[in-house]
Amino acid sequence: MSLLQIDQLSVRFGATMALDSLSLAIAAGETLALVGESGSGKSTAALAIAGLLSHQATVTGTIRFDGQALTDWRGVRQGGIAMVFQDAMSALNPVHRIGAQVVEALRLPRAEQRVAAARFLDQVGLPQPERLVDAYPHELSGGMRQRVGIAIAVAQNPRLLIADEPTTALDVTIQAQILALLRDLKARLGLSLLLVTHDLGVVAETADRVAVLYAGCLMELAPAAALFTSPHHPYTQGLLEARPPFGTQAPMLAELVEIPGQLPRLDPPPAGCRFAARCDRADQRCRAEQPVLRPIADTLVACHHA
Amino acid sequence: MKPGQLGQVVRRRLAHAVPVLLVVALATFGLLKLAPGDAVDVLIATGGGGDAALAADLRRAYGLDQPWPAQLAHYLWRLVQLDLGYSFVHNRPVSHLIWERLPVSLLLMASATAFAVGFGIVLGVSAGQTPGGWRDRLILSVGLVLYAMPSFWVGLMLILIFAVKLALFPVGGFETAASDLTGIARVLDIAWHAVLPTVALALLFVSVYLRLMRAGVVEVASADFVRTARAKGVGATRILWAHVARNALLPVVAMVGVQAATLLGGAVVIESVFSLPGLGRLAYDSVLARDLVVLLGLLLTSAVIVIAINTVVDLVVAALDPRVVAR
Ligand SMILES: Nc1ncnc2c1ncn2[C@@H]1O[C@H](COP(=O)(O)OP(=O)(O)OP(=O)(O)O)[C@@H](O)[C@H]1O
Ligand code: SF4
Ligand SMILES: [Mg+2]
Repeated sequence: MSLLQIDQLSVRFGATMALDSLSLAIAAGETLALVGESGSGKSTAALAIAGLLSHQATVTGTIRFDGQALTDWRGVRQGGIAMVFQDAMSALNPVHRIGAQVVEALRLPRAEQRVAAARFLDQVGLPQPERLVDAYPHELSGGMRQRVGIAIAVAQNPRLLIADEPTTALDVTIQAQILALLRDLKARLGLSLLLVTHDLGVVAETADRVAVLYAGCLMELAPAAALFTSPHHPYTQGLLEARPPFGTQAPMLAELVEIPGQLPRLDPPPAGCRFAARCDRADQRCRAEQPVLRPIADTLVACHHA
Repeated sequence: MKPGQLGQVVRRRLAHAVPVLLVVALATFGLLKLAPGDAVDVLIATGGGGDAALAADLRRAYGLDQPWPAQLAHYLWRLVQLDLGYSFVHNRPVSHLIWERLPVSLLLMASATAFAVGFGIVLGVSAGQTPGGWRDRLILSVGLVLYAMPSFWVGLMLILIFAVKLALFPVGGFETAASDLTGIARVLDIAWHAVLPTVALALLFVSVYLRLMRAGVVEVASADFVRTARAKGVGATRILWAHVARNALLPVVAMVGVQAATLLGGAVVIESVFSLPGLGRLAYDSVLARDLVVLLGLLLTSAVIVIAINTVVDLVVAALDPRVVAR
């Protein structure tokens, strides 16, 4: 059985349809990558799962975690789901000490807090954890801060870790270290990982399966290997063509999407296929009828002509 | 804050203070020279007359026959020794006059600041918690009214209602005259006298701090670290105070320093309204008596007070915000 089961999850911000009927599942111990260009709804999906959407959001659908339906869209996901954010500088409170931030929500007796905090900092590979406990965020480098962000998540003893572009704000060498840490923690703690990313290189190295989002819709859901060798959706194919040859600089969707055009407006979204305006295979049917996900081999694809 | 950082903050502030004080001292010296007549004329006038020979003797004795650069050097040297001159009106050294009245003014300013910051924080947080809600609009409107009311008028109204009509507080004064109270009883008596002046002086600043606090709360509420706290499962009350209000407080504290001069000016007015024997009353009396030496001494004292308040504020900010000293 899946650890996380999402059914028909839709999120609106006023008239904007940020996420449209997303259905997918994550198995225990699995890494699922969520990719798509900026504005495609990746963070919206991640925040909905973590119970962190703002009050402007209207949510429909169901999310089941470990068989239990999550009823509160803005509720604490204690003991199950933890999240790591993109910008580790702003994700930490500048006036609180690192150690206090790591164990803040654990309800430990004061005497045990330091030791516990140091243990979590040690777990994410930070040097001299006993001293770091007393440091403030501004005294740490970007990579160290992101490790603290991960320690905060790990301290919640999660079974699903959501990481929303955890390396985007970091240098390339640090990016690799943080990804290695996430893979290592996943293996050691038996976590499932939902990895939101722009970076197809990260996907290739880390993910078991990949979900491709476009304009709030799931376009393709495939095992990572299959996605890279035989992408079915025209959007996925475009993304992979835009990717530079293997071994060169890390490809970034944000800069590299060479598919002409841009995301359609989502307030309201266009009828038919969301990708029609940029798709060279688009025809009458595509513009009128929204494609539904259908299986091709071990992949799910939402396209009339795949 | 580590001890070394404390010293660093104080040193940085004092480095700014020296040129400021020098400029103020030059200005007071200039005013002293521009005023018609000099100390000897005043002395002879108050003393009931004297001849030219006596005047010349006195000028020699006070160094007033020297060229002005020498006089300036002499003046500055006296200031360094905290000698602010001699008031012939009061027949006492100016520094003694000021020293006597300083506690009254400082107490009023301190209690008004504590009142204003305290209420500013509480009102600002409850307004900013739900921006645009009824509580927010109510508090902002009240703040606007407070801002618009002149403090002397507020003082008079408070006297009329709470002292005259309801007889809950004294009409004025620093403490009950000739009461021989000592210890705790005297402290309580002074506090009882301080309530109305404190409120009258503080209301304007309540509105300043509450608006700053509200803006901070609204801004910080959407900060990433607040989302992190929610993700950790921190309770709503703790998020509001330990994360949102704690960070929104920093600009409010910094503002206390910016408002120091306004606060001092307000205290002068409120002292006259409540007949408090503070620096404001001394200034008022000195204007009436044309006691220029005292007025210039007060000018210098005011500059020192404003600088001292800002130094204290710097220390508080450095204690509240670990990023400050690193900057
Ligand atoms: N709080 C909000 N209020 C209004 N609209 C929002 C809000 N949050 C997101 N949106 C809209 O929802 C859509 C999806 O945004 P989302 O942040 O999920 O995209 P994303 O895929 O994470 O993009 P990025 O790669 O830039 O992080 C966008 O059109 C965005 O403008
Ligand atoms: S459904 Fe039509 S427009 Fe959409 S991706 Fe497939 S071919 Fe292109
Ligand atoms: Mg995002």
